[in-house]
Amino acid sequence: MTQLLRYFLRSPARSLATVIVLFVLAPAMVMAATGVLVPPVLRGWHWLIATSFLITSLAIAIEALAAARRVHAPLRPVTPPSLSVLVAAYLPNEQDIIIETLRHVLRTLRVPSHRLQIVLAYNSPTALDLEEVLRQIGETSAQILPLKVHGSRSKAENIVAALPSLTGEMTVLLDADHHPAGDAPARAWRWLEQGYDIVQGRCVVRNGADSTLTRLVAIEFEQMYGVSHQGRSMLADTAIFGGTNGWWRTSVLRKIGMDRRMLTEDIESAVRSIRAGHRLVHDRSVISTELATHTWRPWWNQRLRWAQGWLQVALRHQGALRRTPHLDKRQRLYWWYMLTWGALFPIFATAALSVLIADLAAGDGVKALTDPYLVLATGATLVVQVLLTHVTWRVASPAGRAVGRRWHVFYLLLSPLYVMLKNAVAITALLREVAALDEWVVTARPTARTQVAAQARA
Amino acid sequence: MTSSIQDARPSTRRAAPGAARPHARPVGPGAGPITARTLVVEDDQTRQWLLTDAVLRTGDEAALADSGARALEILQDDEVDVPAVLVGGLPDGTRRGFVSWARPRFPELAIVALADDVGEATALYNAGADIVTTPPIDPDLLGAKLAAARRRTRTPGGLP
Repeated sequence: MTQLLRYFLRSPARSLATVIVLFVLAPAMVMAATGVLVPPVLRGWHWLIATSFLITSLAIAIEALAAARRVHAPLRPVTPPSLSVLVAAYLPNEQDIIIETLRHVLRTLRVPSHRLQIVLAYNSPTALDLEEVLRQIGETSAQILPLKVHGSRSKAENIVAALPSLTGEMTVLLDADHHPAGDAPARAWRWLEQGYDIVQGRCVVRNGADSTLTRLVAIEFEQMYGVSHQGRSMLADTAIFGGTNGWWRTSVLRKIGMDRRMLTEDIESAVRSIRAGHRLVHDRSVISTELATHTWRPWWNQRLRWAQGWLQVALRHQGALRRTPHLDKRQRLYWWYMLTWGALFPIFATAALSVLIADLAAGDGVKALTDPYLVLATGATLVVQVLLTHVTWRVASPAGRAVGRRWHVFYLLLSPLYVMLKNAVAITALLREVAALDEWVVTARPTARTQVAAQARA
Repeated sequence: MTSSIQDARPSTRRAAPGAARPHARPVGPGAGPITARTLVVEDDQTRQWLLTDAVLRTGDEAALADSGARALEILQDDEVDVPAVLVGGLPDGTRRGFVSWARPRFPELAIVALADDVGEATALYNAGADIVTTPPIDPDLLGAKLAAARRRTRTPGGLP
């Protein structure tokens, strides 16, 4: 059975087909059959799914309204930050962009250079010409320390290997394509001075103009980091660490480390930090830009890893998070919503298609247009999406606005399809977890050549 | 690198063909009005960006020459105002030779030179360099040395 499931999850097309059969068509048949035999059962399905949409819409509305508020951050830091920048890279994949990242960090970050350290922790299965350049950089620059992690196969191993070398009181973890803003260290440091231990900054897509997909991802990130995470953090005074643009108190990072067995070791480290009593905050003014994937295949692989990683964290930590004394009720609700509800909702959302099909199969017409409760749920979902789009535009970063208001509206119109695709990814991740499939594909970075080609197309 | 001089004065010639991007405005801490231009002489690409970025962090504008000949051409160009030069690697001569040539011809030019060892540092001082530094390069410290060298060359009696 597991072997069969693995066969059907081998490619995105097969995975999508599997999700459609197992989570749309099969439930539709069951719903239609039960609806014919016992009519109230189909109505019960409708109400269950509508309720799930109402819960999610209510949560999104509360987050959006919270994020729309202008909130005063702590004052300027009393002392200048002492910072280690830890860039984790898989070099065959990221060798075209890593030098530019190092340059950007050294040139741009407003930290006195004697308090700045840049560690490039990388792994590579083969020897690269770039390594000689990195060696020269290490010898010439007082700030940059290239660190090859032999035997490493993951970002987590690279980070853990670099921990003993860190000298700053604060460490920012960056992916190889990240370009933090010059004022980001000071903005993050003020939170650490206030007693927080981890600050999650806002990730902004800087190649949003390259293609339709990068535009969509750019707006999605604006929603995610500018509104959703920000709103939740303001409401519950806790946050996640999303793997990059996360500013850690170095002593806490050393203590918590990263678990290389997890697909999203970043989220997992955040949860272990919470369980250890450390405080996290999300600050959308701490900006770092990154590159969105250019094509759908890498997008699929990246999102699949994220979804399965979240699921693993939910399975591993949800129970402990309910019991930890370090969270109050509101924070427990936050983490339940992020982990458990985040894993369940894609199933409910996909089942909405099943009930539609079941309605049509049972010859009842589309109930969402006649049943008052379903009309309410549908209307609320649509209104909340409009609200979310409005708030996203209102608080968008300059790069997010550069994508254009037209594209924000287009994203709103496209969001049912886009969210459906993301739900399919989440369910595929669930199936992969059942099938014990956890190998993953490195997210392909746009090379200089593809960037030039994209610019030429633009 | 496309010269920043080129950016600032379209009528002047390019400092050098090269690798990095132009910076019409300085970036980094203290970024503000352009106060000075520093000519970076370096043929190695890695050092080119380390040195030019160090200059940019100070708020100065950087121009780049990838050979001694090109650097001399820029220094002799009356249309280009270069108060400081940062001498790194040269493919067509020695740093000492370059400094010896430049010092008497440009007495108000602040000359900061890179040396690989103490022997070379001594030779560069004797040739007329205002300040000599050795790797590893700390950008803020290098910026401070450039500023100190500029102050020194403006002070009467401060010239070698």
